[in-house]
Amino acid sequence: MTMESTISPAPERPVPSGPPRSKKSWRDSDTAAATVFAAPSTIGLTVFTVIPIVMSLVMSFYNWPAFGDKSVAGTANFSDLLSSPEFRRVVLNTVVFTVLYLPLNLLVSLGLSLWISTMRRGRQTLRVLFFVPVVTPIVANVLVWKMIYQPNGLIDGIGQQFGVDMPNFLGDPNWAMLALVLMSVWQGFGYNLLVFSAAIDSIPQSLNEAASLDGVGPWQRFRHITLPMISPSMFFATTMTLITTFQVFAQPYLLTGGGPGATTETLVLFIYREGFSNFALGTAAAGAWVLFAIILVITALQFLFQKKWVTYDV
Amino acid sequence: MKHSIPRSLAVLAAAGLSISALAACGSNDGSGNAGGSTDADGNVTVDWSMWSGGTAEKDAWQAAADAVHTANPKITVKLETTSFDDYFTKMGTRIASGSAPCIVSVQSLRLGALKDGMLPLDDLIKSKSLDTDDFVPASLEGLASDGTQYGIPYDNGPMLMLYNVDRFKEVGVDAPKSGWTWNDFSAATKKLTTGGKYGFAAYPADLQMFPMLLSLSGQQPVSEDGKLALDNADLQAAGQQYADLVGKDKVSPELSGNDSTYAYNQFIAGNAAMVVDGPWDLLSIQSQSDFQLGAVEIPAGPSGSKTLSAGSGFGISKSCKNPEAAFEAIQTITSTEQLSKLASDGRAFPSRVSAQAPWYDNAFDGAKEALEAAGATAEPMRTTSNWTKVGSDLIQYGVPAMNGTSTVKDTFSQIQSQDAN
Repeated sequence: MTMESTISPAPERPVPSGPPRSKKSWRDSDTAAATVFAAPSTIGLTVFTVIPIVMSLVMSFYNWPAFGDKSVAGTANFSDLLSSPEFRRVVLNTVVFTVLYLPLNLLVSLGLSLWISTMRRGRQTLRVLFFVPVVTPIVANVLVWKMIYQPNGLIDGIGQQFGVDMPNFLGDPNWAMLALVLMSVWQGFGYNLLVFSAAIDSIPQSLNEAASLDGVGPWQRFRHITLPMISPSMFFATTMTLITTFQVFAQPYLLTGGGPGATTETLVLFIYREGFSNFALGTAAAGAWVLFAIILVITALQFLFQKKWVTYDV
Repeated sequence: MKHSIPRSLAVLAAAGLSISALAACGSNDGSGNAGGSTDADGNVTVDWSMWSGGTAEKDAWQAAADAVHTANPKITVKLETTSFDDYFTKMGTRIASGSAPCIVSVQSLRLGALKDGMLPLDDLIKSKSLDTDDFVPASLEGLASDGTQYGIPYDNGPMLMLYNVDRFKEVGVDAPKSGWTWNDFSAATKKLTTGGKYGFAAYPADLQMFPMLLSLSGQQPVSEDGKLALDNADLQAAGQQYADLVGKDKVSPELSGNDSTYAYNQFIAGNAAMVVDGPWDLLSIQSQSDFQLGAVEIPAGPSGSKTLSAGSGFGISKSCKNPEAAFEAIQTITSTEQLSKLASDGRAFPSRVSAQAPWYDNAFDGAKEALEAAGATAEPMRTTSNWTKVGSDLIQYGVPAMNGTSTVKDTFSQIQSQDAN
């Protein structure tokens, strides 16, 4: 999951105030129409999201093997998980991945969007170009990166030309996580780049012009005009990226299989294996709820701290 | 406004719930037709799930499914295929949810993971008088558990050492002969590792690694009573010797990532002169490689050459409503005629002795002798019920052990403590 599929909230438009109509019929017809329009997505959401979520919560309190009898486990699944070194390791891996990935992703996407915004030509072309990895199937991306990373691959090949001995990126425990992060940043930064580009383009020119006339330098302009103006977008990007980063699965699953050792085994990969290769469905459901709790707490913290740095009153 | 919103929500919720109730009715509640169906005239449709690696392979299995209908027009077999790696994940999930197909394909190493959802076949073998004498005994053994037969095999064979005849000639090393020892193997790999090419392609996957370890130590990774035995000191020492081929002796390419076809690809590309593989891959490797292929038994350890055998076949799911029809279909699919067809296509090394001739006709010189020599000492590979996890852990933790960043002793002990059942 690397695609954030939410659209940033549009600025509110004033409601057009027309002459008052006969209120009741208008409202009733509105309700009926709204019900009809909302029904497909609500039904879909109920069947494919709400019911499975409730189901998984129930499952997490059971011993739920693939074959044989289910039995009530109470909170045993959770206590087993929280006390198992393997689980602590995968949580730690996921946190390490996030701590490396999130700042890198934001730096690259913000830096490039600032650079693109100063261009006169080719802005759209570059944006499309940087967005391509986001929409390319991740399996294809991973296969290409495998060829880049592996011994006698692209990097190693270039190194051999210059007589430099390159590390075995995917086979060396010290390098595997870093290799994973770099590949993920390349794959994912295009989305935030689009978000930031749109935000930067919507800053009124007059602000920067006025500041320039007053003799404010580029760094000061960035610090006191651009940053506050795009802070709502930054908040959106940080929150969404963090949520999807905690759910990282495809890259370790395809690139390293969680190895070498347990160095790149992430939470969702662990949950998937627990559920679909060990068939310990109760443990897997419990793991998923632990992940949910972690994401919930972190997102709540982000909302608490947004007051400190996000400005909506422009 | 205040009243209308909750009301519309209630309408929506009711609609959603009724739809989901319908969905629940449609799922398997015992009255459904799991794995097949029967119509009013007694025509039976039987579902069959199989793995396949491409269109050609799928077509070969489809031909076998059609042959069932030709033999008995009352039975129609519906085939669906998945890739090998996804197959067992999918099948386990389907058996668990009671929506398994009637005919379940199973590999001997994964029998333990699926057998609780499979029907014991002993009664059907008797009542339908299937002639089991024609099958290679090891092939039947591989799909049996505690003396109960769960599957009828279609292929089986011992793991062998494949070698690149041209590369041996090029370097001037004598081709390995039957009765060669670990020392001969070791000396050959060292000589063959020159000019950026390697003598051998090692990989910590179960079927590639454990035949070598068995030959060196006489130990299987699972004890005779079905317990994981990776903590066995002799096995660990043999494992270290195997890993040293990569990490210490550097006669085998360094590993990266989790690509289980890595060793084969190195061999096919000509980067490694030897690889361990089973007879089911021989003919496809022969067609993909542009060098002369040779095969020989696994090099002998202190107590002679030993190897492991594995194979696959077809069983019936417990939820199947028409086990008789399913068994009849399996009988046709594993008949001498069908297996001979598969053999002449080079798809599988047949489990039936009577169907092996066409396979040998296609194979390179020496394949038959090597297979027969290896077959004489082969033991069916024993596995545990959680072997899927053990197998993936072996690769995950085995890669750094092979590269020399950790020891085999620590790696095996860790997997033992994580996965011992």
